[in-house]
Amino acid sequence: MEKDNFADGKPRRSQVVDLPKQAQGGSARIANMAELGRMSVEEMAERRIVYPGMPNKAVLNTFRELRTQLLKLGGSNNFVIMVTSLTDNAGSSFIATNLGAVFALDKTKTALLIDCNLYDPSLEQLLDVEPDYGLTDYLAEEKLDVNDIIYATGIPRLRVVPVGTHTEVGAEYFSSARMAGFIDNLKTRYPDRYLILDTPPIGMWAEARILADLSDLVVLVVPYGRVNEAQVAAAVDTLGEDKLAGVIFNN
Amino acid sequence: MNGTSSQIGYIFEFIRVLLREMIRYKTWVILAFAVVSLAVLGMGLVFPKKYSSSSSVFADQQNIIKPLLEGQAATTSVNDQGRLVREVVMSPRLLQQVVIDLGLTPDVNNEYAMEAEVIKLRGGLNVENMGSNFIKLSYVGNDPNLVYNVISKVTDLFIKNASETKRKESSEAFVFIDKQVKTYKGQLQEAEERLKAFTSSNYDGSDQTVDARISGLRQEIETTKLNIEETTTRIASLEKELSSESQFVERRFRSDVYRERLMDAQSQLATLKLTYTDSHPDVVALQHQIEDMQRAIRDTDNRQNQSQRGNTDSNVNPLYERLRSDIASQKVEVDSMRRRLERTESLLKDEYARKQRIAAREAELAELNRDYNVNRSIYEDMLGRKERARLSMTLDVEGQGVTYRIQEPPVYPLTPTGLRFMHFFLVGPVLGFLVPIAVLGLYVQFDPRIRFRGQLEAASKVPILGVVPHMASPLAQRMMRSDVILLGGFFVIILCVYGAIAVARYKGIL
Repeated sequence: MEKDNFADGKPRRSQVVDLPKQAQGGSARIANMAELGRMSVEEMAERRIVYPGMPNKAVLNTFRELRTQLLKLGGSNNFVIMVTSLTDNAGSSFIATNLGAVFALDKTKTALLIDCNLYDPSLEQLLDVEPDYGLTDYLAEEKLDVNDIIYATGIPRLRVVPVGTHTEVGAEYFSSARMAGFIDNLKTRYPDRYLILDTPPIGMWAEARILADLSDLVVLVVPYGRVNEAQVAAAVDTLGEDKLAGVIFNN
Repeated sequence: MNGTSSQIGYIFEFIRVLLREMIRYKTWVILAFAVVSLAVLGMGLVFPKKYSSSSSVFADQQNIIKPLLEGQAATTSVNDQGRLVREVVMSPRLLQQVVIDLGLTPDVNNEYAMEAEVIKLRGGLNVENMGSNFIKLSYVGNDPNLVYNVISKVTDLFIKNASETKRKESSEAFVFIDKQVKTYKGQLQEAEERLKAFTSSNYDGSDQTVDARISGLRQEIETTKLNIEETTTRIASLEKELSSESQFVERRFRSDVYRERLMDAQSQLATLKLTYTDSHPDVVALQHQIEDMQRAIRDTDNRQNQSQRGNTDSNVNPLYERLRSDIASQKVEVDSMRRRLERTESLLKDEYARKQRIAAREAELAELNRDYNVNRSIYEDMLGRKERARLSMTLDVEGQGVTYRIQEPPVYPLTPTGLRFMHFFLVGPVLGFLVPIAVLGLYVQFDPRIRFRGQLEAASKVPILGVVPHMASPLAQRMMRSDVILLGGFFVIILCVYGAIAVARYKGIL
């Protein structure tokens, strides 16, 4: 089987995943997904990604609980979750990555992490090599295909769309119809794929508000000891209570 | 229940947050510990040793003037013994004496130096009441020798001063009472004089004598009146008797006797004739007797007629005469009694007048008497008191009746009191820990940034999906570990320095 080719710890090759064009049913298709060699436990710990059997049970359980709550809020269908925060380095990428990881723990679901944080992209750390293209490249260049920017990680059923190279004009791209179509396309192609957007802090950049319109649920990450109550209240007002699924207090 | 459990939950969360902040600022916490504990130890090094010594003095609450003048004069009460003693002990006079006696200042004539020393002494001295009768004098200073000397000297001077005061007080009391005695003596003599003058100018005697005299006179009048009445009655009855008696009487007594005898003899003769004849000797004898008697009667009658014609006086009635003389003497007596009655009545009138005079002067006399009695009683009392005062004065002069005495003499202070180096040594690390914790606690409490789930709940209208625990990457953990080892080493070094300083202090190097 192809997916276990690199499980023995040999360097993995970042590569464009060969997604089957024709729709296949459920678990069988997911099981057939092209996978890289598995990320080792040490590598996952180094990247602070949860995995079953990890020593810090509390963190794993917290993320599982979060997944359960989000699935309940999202109803029966798959959905787009936007993870945003209040300040830089608030841990929104950490939350987004681990949300993707716990969604992918379920063998019947896949998760796709889309890095929309133009100013402080961090999802590339999941990939071993520098990706050729990313989201902004796709939005800027008509000829690129969706498949060109989706990368497999060392974690089963977890894919990543990196931010790309055209980061300087990102905000304008996000409001384009191509962006909306891109998200819609990714969401509707597979009903068991959950999209997770990692966005810049809401209080500081406009992108988060644009992207909130494109997503089904918004999660606000509040870092420990960095923001005051007024800032939280302002962010909650900005995002609107209907889309905002809730806040996550990140210690 | 719910409230307390949530409160306990909050406390635990607060402690968790505090620990986290301590870990976050671990370098600063250790530095603060070092600075604070070493600063406390340094303070302990330079903190002066305090020595304290005390003596207790027993105070006899009795004021000498109080028992002496009990009931006669109200003395001011000695209200606060401690305050009194403080006044004496803290007085510049006593403290200056202490300074001079102990040679605390090289130049006795330098007033500024003297004043400075006095102020220093006053600052260390303390006087406090231990119950009602005990007063504790204590002195605190840096030099045990000086402390001991000062408290001994102060106690001695105070006792001496107190007995002197006492002596003065008792002699003053004696002088005062003596003066009072003289005053009362003068007053008493004056009252005596007045009383004498009054009695010498007034002869009416007392009310009682007048009353007795009046009642006597009255009784006499009554008796006299009764006597007069009785005598008058007697005169009347005598006069009545007199009127029934004739002035002259007839002398027929002898012949009457003879006739009675004759009649007896005739009846006897008749009886004899019944039995005997006329010739019977008894009858003859009896007839002879009868004849003799008839003859005698005739003689007697003749003589009587002759004498009646010759002397009329011999015929006056003696009873009549007697009655008349009785009446005369009774009349004389009645007259004399009447005169006496008049005299007695006039005497009674005089006595009434005298009684009125006495009543008028009675008030004056009572006042004079009262004056005299009061003065005399006070004077006598004062004399007694004066003797007691003299005794008290003698006692005080001989030092027997002092009111203050040393109950417990001062003891040489061997160990310092108050805060010692040991206390600082023990408190240093505790404060070193507590200060940064307290500062961090205040920081956590007053920093508006969100650290608690409760704060976030209050701030956001949407629910909290979850609280993600802190998750450190292995790299961060390794860094943390190296930091902890480094800081631990630093901490151990600080403790070593701390201990070394303490040991040096105890060895006497520092």
